Amino acid sequence: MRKSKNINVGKQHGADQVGIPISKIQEHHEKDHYFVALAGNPNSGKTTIFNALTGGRQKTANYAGVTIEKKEGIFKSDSGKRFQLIDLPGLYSLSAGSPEEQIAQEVLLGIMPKMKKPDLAIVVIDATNLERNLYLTLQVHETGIPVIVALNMTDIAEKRLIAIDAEKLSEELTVPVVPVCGKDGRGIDNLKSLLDQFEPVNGKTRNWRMNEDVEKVVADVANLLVEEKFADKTNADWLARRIMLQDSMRISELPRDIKHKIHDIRDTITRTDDDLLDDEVVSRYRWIRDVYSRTVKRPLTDMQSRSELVDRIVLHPLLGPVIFAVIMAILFQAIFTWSEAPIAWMESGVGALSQYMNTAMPDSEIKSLLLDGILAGVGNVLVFLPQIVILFFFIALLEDTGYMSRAAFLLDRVMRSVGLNGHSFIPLLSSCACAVPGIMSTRTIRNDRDRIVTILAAPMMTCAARLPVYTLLIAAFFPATHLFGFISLRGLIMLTLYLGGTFSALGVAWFMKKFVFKGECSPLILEMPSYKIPQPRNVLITVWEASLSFLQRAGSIILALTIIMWFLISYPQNIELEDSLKSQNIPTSKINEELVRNSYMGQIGQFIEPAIEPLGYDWKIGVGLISAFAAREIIVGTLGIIYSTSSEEEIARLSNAMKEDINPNTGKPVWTPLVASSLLVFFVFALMCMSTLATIKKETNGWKWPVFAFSYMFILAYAGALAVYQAGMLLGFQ
Amino acid sequence: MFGPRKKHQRRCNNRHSESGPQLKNLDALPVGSCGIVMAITGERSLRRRLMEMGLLEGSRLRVVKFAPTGDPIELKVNDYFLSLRKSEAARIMVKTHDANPSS
Repeated sequence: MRKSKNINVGKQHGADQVGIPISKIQEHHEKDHYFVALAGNPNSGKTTIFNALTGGRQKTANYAGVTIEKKEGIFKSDSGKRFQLIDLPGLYSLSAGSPEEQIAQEVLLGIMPKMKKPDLAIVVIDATNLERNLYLTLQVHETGIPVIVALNMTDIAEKRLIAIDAEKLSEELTVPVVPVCGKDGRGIDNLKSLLDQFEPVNGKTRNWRMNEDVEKVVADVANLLVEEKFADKTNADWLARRIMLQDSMRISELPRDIKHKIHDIRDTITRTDDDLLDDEVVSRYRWIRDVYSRTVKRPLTDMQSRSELVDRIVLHPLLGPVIFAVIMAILFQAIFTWSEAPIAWMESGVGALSQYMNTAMPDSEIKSLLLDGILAGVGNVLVFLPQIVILFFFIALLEDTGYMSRAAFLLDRVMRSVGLNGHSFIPLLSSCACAVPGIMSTRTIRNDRDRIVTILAAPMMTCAARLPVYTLLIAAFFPATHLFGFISLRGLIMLTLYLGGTFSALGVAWFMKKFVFKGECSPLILEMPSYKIPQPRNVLITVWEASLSFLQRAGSIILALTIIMWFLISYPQNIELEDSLKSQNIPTSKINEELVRNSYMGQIGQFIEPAIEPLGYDWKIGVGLISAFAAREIIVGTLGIIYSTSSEEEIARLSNAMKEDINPNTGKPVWTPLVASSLLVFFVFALMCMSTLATIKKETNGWKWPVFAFSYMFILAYAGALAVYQAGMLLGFQ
Repeated sequence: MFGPRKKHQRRCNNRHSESGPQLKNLDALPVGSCGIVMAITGERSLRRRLMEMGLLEGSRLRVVKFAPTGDPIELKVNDYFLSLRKSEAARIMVKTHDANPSS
């Protein structure tokens, strides 16, 4: 048994005197709950192993301060021990500096805030790709944490006649090696029982050596760190090398005198920084290759991989893009049309419940709250589920089969011209149906900056909710004429609006990448995994997880905002006013208008009227805009309320009522084609969707980005509508 | 079409008129070329990434395919397939050699 003092150098604000908090080395005794980190290369089948161990019981959150996903799950062993598993992001290396690598390193070292140091790490490695996978394995081991290696994809290795001596490998690595096959579950029981009986042995963490002079320097620095209590024996070597190679970002600054001593030690050899870097990487691989040659037997001629043959078609210069276009068309079509039926069922279900409650309950304020606030809110949330389910189903399929990287390969050149990478394509495409699932699907984008830019550009894509608004306004205020005899004017306007949104989104992305998120395109360096049959369990878990997290985190916000909207439009209630208006035989349409004018919503509308007049709007349009904030298509319903028509069935009546409306202040019509144009332009740009905002908040873990997105889009919308209206006035259009 | 290639069918196709190995940048190699990595130049973090992915001195690679516009490039590196942009590939110095059947 080893005990170690809690080594924790105090934190002094302001000065550069912050130590590296080290957690106690876990005492070797029987505990009943353990914290286990799961690491591995991307495409190593890590997720399948995670799912096999946790049985799908998992939850995702974000790591503090970044948009990187934190996936955790629970595994209970046969003897009743409880293992809390954390699935680290897929990594090729712990030390190359990207945020994911930084986070993984911090988790393993135990310096991630609000997380204790893992008791052990399971490294999932791909048996058909051993050299590269062992690189990460060595690094994980070097951080001083006990390691179990899960040698995955043994079935594919068998097919390729690659024979790995797991026992010998285990001897060389000095850690247990369990052959598994995530796909059919072979070996998982062994892994589970090994976890159950695991007893960490604090042995050497590094078996490979660099050049002797470098080794000496590293050892000196390591001893220094231990003496000064910035590291303990298990991780001093790792930390010493991180400091020497200057490739850790958040490992806190060391005190000045320590830095000096380290510089002195460093200066005793004449190697450049590049030399040191090379030495570490090369020495590791040299050792790995040596071990490989002794533990792996493979045929002299590799079998032609089937994936390469499939890629002859999938990545063909002509067929490749065609296949891609077809797949994207299917995806898009699925999101648009396959969701129609489930959405209709949900709406009619909610409607039926609403009807029932309407007749079953006496009129009261509570009833109104229940029906128009809460039930409507729940309906607003549920209505997104079909599209989310469909989109994530397809994404899971594409990822699991390995097609995603082929798509990124084909798209890279094009996407680079706007500063994005291929992984932004599907989120942006799905945002043409609805930004909510589109933004959620940006999880597949690894680079933080690219992900945020995509999230900010996504709401600008013309989404399905804008279409009812476009349809109403175009039909009401633009004639059904044909240009040149065959191009429908209305169709042309619709197309212009559609493309306007799309190109604006790309323009915004380009602008952001160039000026706001300065930085070069992250390098491609994209692995093309072999094609695999997708695992039903993985797909289902992905879909389930996405739906659940949407309901919990975005859903609550949407529900809350719906209730607020209901409140604003229903209160303050003024029964006397209503009665007095009725008794004066004022037509119903006007009564409703007055009631809305009296509500809080109406008051806000009148309050902002001066601000939206330059755009050509009056307070009623203002009320429409505010309600559209909840969801764009609501403006149609709101206008219906104001003009006392039920807009769904009677669009013609609504447009007539709108056209007849006269502004009491100016004596001129409220609605003209110019006003309609201005409103259309406003809708192209503005982020009028609380669900989108809620989703952005959920995916970026904070309100900063939703507020930013709303603001920049609002500015564009206001400026655009203003320009259109004022220019139109100047040119004489009324 | 499927199954192990017969020994005399080589996938490597080094087309060079002069005999003997040549040292070239990876982005200049045509499809089918095989070679061994000699060095990686350029900016440190990119270098490190490429090396950690297994592209270091002594690694065998083969140029598999170009994207429709010629960029990016798909390679086979040791045991797996990797795509790089031309600008990234340009940093890798490769010694081409006569066809190696085990690529």
